[in-house]
Amino acid sequence: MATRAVGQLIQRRSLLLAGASLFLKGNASAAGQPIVVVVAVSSATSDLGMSTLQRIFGGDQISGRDGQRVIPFNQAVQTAERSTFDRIVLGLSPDDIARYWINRRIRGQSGPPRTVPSVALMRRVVAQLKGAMGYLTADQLDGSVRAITIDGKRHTEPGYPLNLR
Amino acid sequence: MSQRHWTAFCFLALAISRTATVWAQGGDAAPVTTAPGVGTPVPPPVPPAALSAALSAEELQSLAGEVLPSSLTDDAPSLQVYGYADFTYSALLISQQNRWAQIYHPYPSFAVGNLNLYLSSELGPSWRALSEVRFTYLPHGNEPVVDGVTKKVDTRATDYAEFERPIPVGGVIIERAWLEYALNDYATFRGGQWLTPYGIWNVDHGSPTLIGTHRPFTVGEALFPERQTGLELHGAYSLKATKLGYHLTLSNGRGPVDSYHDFDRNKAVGGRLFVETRAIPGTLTVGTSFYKGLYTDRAEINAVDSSSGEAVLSITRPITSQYHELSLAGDAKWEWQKLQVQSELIMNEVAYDVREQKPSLVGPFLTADFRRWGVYGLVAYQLPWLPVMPYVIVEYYNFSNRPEVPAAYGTYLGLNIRPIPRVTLKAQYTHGTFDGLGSLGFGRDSISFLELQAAWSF
Repeated sequence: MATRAVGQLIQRRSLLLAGASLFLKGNASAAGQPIVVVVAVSSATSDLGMSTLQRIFGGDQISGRDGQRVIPFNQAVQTAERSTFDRIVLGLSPDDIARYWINRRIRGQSGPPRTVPSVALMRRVVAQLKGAMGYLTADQLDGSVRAITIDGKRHTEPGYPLNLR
Repeated sequence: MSQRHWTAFCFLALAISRTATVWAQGGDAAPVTTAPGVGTPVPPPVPPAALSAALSAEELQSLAGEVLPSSLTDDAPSLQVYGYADFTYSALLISQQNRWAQIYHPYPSFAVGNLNLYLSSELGPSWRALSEVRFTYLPHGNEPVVDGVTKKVDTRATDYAEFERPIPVGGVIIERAWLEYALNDYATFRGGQWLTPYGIWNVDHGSPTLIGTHRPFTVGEALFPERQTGLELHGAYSLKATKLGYHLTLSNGRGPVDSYHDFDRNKAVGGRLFVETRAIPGTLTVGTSFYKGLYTDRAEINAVDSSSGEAVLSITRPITSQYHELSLAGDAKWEWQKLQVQSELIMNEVAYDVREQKPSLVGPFLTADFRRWGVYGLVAYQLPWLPVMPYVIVEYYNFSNRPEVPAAYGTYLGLNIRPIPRVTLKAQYTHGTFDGLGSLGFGRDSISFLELQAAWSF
């Protein structure tokens, strides 16, 4: 009886994971849109190393050469952009990322970047708040914010680290 | 620590922050690179206060779902309230004749072990405060041994709001309360009471974060002070996929009331260095820590001297116990995909200046110098299709200051299940065997117990 229940649970979870995987692929990568990290157009930041990006969005405090504190912003929790970003940059699934932040807070460390509920608002916050940094998919870029290179690569170049393919 | 040590600490802190600033301004590894001349066609970013005006009320409301930092608004400081709790069923799996059944509570019991509340606040740019308190039923039911007799503490009081019915009164433990200021990316000053930054388990701290149901004895025995009151300087420097971090501490050190009184002028010093790298598969963290302090306890004797014809109050504070202690530790943790391996080796050495007479089950004895040490290793693997993490912990410790407890080997086998990120269910079987008999023969018997625990964060 118990074995059967566990079996059903595994089956259900597998289906859910498969579904979630299809959902993510369907939303974030079907159009082949890479994630781009954005800053204000006037920001002095033009490039970030992948490890620095991990630190910024992983809770560490990072400043630019001008001494300005980088203020990271996340997309909303259940968006494909957020899941994809967490998976590529921090290497964590949605469940793992939740545990990661819970563990940090219990240790007394800083909490996660604040969440911006819409792409439009993300662009506005990044454009207007000094030091703000966010991320979008490439097709969400407009003239109000500027995509920076990661490890020296533009999002249109092969080998760009935040490219899904 | 004397005044010159204070001066040295401040100098060192200043030197580190200056060096860090130089790194930040001119180091090759400065994390954010810049592009000169970028951005001339657009107006400069508006200051934070203006952002509030630039956003609609609806947008601000949605943003305010999570606490806004003071850098976004110039309003009052943000406050976050959160915490964790755990509920445990524990049962000794030994016979009534087993000697350990005399020491530990022999009847299976349910208990809420931790109910901890955090108050975290961003007070302003670079300023942050954190307080954590634990609510406990203690001291009600505590069973101290006084002159060989165990007497249960009874804190029941009559409840004036409920027809004078008796209610047990519990207590509050201040786990930590500190204020910190981030000077730059590489130096943050912290003052208050903080958890000693050593090893892995003491920093992980809370039951939802910890893999096992209880700390290894090596950690629980406080070979380092679990928390200290004083100053801490910490920071990290990153070079690509590798981070080098440090902690330096200056505190009252260990003492009978070390949270707010030091009974000597010698401040305790400590530190930790760690390297965290992702340059290999997974993440590897290796650290080393030390603590050096002087424990002092004093009596207070009041007397009135009237020999000169005028009553003069005389208060003397003779030392009743004093020892120097040195603690050293090393730790390593490797996380790769679903696998986690970690280990800590901790040593504590005590040398007495003034020996104290300690009570024990067989009568008072004078304490001798001692060294105690322990090591544990943990391997855990999270199953790919279920949020279930089987784990095993093996441990060896030798606490020579407790003659009744012989050196011991411990094996913990358990399951850590996280059905949702905020809830952790654990089942752990612990088995201990002993290397020797100990002064009271406890080593003749092994000990086993089972713990089932639900831990949750809120």
